[in-house]
Amino acid sequence: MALVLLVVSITIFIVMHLLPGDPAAIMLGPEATNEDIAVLKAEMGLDKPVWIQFVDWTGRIVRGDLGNSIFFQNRSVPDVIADHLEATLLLTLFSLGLATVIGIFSGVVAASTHESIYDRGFMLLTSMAVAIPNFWLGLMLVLGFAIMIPILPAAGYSPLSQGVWSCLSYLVLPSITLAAGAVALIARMTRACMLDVLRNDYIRTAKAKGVRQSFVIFKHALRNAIIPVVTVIGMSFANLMGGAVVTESIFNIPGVGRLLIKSVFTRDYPVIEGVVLYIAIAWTLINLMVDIIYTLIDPRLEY
Amino acid sequence: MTKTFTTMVMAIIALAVFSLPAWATETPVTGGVLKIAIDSDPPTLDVHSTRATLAVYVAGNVYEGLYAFTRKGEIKPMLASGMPDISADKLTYTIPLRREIKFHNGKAMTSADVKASLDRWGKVASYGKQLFAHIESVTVKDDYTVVITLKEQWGTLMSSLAMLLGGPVIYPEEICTQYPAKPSAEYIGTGPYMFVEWRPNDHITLKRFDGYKALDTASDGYTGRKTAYLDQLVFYGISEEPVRVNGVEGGEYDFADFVPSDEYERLKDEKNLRTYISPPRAWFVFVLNTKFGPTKNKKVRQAMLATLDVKGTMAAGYGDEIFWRVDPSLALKEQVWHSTAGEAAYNQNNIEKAKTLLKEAGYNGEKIVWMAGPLEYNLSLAAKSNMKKAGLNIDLQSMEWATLLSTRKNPELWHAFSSGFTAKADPSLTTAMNLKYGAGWDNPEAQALFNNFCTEPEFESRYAILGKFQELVYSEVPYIKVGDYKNLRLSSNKVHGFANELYLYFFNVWKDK
Repeated sequence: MALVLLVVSITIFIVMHLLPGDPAAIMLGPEATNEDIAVLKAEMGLDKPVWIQFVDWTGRIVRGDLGNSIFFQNRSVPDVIADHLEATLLLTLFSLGLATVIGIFSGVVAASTHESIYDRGFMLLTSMAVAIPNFWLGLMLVLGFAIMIPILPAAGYSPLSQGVWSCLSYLVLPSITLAAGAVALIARMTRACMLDVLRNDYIRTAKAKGVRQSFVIFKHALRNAIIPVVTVIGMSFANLMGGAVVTESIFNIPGVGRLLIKSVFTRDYPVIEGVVLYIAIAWTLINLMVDIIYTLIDPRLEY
Repeated sequence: MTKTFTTMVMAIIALAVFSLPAWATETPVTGGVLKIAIDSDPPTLDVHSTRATLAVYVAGNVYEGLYAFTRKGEIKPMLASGMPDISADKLTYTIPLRREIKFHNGKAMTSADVKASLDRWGKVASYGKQLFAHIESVTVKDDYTVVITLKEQWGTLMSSLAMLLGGPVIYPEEICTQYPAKPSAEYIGTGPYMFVEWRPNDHITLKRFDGYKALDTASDGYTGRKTAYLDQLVFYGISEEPVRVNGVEGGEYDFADFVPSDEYERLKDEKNLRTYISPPRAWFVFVLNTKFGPTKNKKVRQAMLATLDVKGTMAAGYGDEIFWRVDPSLALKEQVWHSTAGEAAYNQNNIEKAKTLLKEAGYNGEKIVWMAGPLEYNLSLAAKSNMKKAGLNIDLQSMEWATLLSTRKNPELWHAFSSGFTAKADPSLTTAMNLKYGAGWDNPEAQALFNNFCTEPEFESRYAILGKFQELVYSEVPYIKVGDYKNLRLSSNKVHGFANELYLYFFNVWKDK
């Protein structure tokens, strides 16, 4: 894991410093002269050769010091990221929960009624969910449920500390927007795996022995079909933890994805490096979690 | 008769009922939170350290200077208790300070804070550095008097002291000591609202400063009485235009700036909303490189100017004509500095003339690298099509601001870039007269005119010098002025008292409960 993080850190440092862009120029505004920019750059220590900045930065990283944000001087990078974690975590859990429940249920129903109108109907809906761009879906949901029938907020975020219901009301539309694509993926994967499992002899035997249909599907079939679905859920979880950039932007949610994009535009190097490092850690930990869940679902698996 | 009487009574009641809300809203209401969607987070709230307009939208509610501008651009005292006492040789300005002023940290403001702030501004701010080259010293005479001594007469001193964007607002001395050069991370001022928190990439919260001592003169621009009716102002930096518009329509935000102009027709008649077209605040320019590449040749620059069709360019790039205007001046029409000098060279749309000039220049189709940011790209594209007709080989490159600002620092890499120059009360403070901007404009005549403009105390003489400078711009073409632009603002109809001026500010604004 340490090696992965080191490689990711070095890569992002090099890539960001190869890009044109200068935080001092952004700080001073578009009407600043080159002379003003050079002076501020020197004050901020950004005029040092890149290799010296790299040595400084590596030294700090090894000591676990991610440094301070350029645009929010009094805030350390972990502090800035922590500020954005709550929104990202809640949005992820909410939309992933929605996607998992609806996706697995739809996939199971479609597989157990294979070739029926339900199967075709579910699959049509999931195809549409994948095909609709989430920025369009988000804007349509805002138009429908925040402007035409104003029952939910159009944008923004209310922290959990200001009340659970208020927080949830801000997450409903973004979660649906975000869940749409994941629902389709999970449903299709569940359906395919279930169809595969339902053709096995032991399922036929269970049915022949008179075991109840629902018991056969959920106890015998789903448990054996779920492992690839868990992989998809795990990957979606890791993806979302890195921030759902488009959804966070459409709904102005102060999450990690939006932080990353804004930091790239302002060339806030320490924050960009910190966020990428955080995403790498999230991916690694979630992959580990998925592996552990595999062994719980299927005790035959060993590592 | 009875029927007529009943009808009249009903009509009076109806009139009273329907006119009640309108009448009621004219009375200011205290309390509430105003949520404001601006187009991005400001880079910093340290006004000394930036010229970014966004910084003033927030910080203009927090900080004040010794003097400030009225709507018409007159200079009035703000933290000073009166206009300065100027010595006969016009080199010494003695400024009395108001005694009752407190900073947001509770400390009383004295001349030590003013001296520290002016000195820091002279070291940190680009305008400050320009002015301090002509200042001998800033000294403290007593607790409530500051003396500025000039090396030579300098006509822009008072305008500089009254300026807010990149201007010498007053900080506590300890802030100036703690952040002598780097942008400050603590925002303590004397204004009607005080800084509470800045959640990165989310929002900035200000709250009413109960210790604020308002002037008792009538409110006028940044001068006079400033009342903080609202409990809090919360600024959200939202770069996505639909989110700002939907947010106000859906009631999540109370105010949005930089609303797309093509939304005007749809929004202007919405009964729950109010639209505001800002006064012209800036003008688009194409800055040309006078030091490197094909644009080093004056005739090539003149040819580019000759092709300009302002109406076509502005319509393509900025939409409906109510949001822009054609004007050759380096100051806005609303300012006393407005001038038509050199206008014959403006808005020529003369392709044949451009071809002749290019021939005289010996131009052989060398590539002209032109950089444009997102806001200016469309109008640059429209201008490019005319230039192409004249035979200019334009390589128009669209890029985000960070890349453009960074590339701009190396004049060997580009020949033109699109930008905007904001209006200032004194033309010497605008980028239009800044000879170091872009690749720099090394022109002794322009430098002499600039110096004379700054040292000359009389308005008439200064105005004449500005006219000459403008004529020189149109003959030497270090940049091409396109057109003045305004922007669309939107609020809920619960918001009252908003002064639709050049910059946003929210003192004297209240909101229905």
